[in-house]
Amino acid sequence: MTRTNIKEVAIKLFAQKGYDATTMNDIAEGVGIKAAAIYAHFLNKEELFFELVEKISEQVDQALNKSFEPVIRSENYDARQVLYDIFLKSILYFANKKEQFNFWQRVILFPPQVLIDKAGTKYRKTNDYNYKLVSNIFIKGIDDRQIKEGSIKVYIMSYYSLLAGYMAYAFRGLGEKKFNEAEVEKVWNLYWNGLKEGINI
Amino acid sequence: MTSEIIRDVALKLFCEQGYENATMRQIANEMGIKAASIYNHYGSKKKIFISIMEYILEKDLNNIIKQFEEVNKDDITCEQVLFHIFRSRILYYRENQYEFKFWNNFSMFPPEEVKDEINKFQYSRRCELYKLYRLSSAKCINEASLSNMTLEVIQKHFSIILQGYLMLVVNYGLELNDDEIYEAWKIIWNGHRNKQ
Repeated sequence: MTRTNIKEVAIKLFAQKGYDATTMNDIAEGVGIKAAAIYAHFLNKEELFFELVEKISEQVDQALNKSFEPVIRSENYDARQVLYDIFLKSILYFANKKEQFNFWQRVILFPPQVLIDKAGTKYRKTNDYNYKLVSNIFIKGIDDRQIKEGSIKVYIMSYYSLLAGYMAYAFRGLGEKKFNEAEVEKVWNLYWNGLKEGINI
Repeated sequence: MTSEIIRDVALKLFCEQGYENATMRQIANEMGIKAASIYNHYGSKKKIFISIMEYILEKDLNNIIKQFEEVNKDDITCEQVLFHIFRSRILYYRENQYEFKFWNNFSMFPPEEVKDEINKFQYSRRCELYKLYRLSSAKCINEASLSNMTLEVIQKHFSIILQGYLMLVVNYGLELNDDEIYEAWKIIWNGHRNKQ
């Protein structure tokens, strides 16, 4: 119970202030316990931080990537639909979990030295896995003649840049803009049009 | 001269460590001078931060205006203009990664002490960029080569995906060669041109 509380408060504080500026004292204060009590659960700040990194990547992975694995393995699906579903689901996931989004953004934008030293390889593994998933969808789309022949690398990058760019645009700054699914679809349609086979004017 | 070096060192430190964590002493240490002489030049950390914003905003806008003027000629098509802008944005920020990180990091996580200033600068930066994108795409309306979607949606799409590429290039170290930049551009452009 306390362990869960500690993690919840820590995510919030790391997201707000970053890893370096957050102390175990801050976290203890947020939970309403003595700093010494945290050390009964976590060896140090670093261990707590890495447990959060693991936990969040696991959750994101389960919610987004793993849930699409069966359909992609079945090889009997509509590439456009599945790619859009993943795109929309990714945005919705983080729209509902702003703290996780901010936690990740902090980690990416101001990576703490401990992370650079330790987690580089693991990170890459998750990324490679995601790339593979998305690249399978693009290959399927090309096979089905929905998507034009082209460099898979560029396709994957175009997908991730749309996703990263959209989240930056929709979630960032002061604007608690209301999330607008119709707008996501409009942006998506323009993107998909650029991938389509054989209708260039 | 010294004040320019201070600015460059501070830009890097702010991006790597955040505004709150970077100290005047650190800047001084990096340069091998005394912290007191930094205060002589700038007075406060906040003043350095603002001077960085003024400097990189002007540098960035001058660059994009120059790029735009290079291609704003009668015999150049709308696609060529937009592609040139797309490509030159990627090349500019690939060369000047800290400038991108500065805008990107601090608009995502504005430090309390300089929040208002960041908003002010971000606002004028967006207005200026928007004006330039509008100018660049004005030709497209004349050529009537775009789909019937409004220019607004297209511009939004263009700046969203450009922002995404810049994040991948600067924050994730994505490497794109010239052919790949062109292919990436083609996906955007075809999306605008293909019939809905």
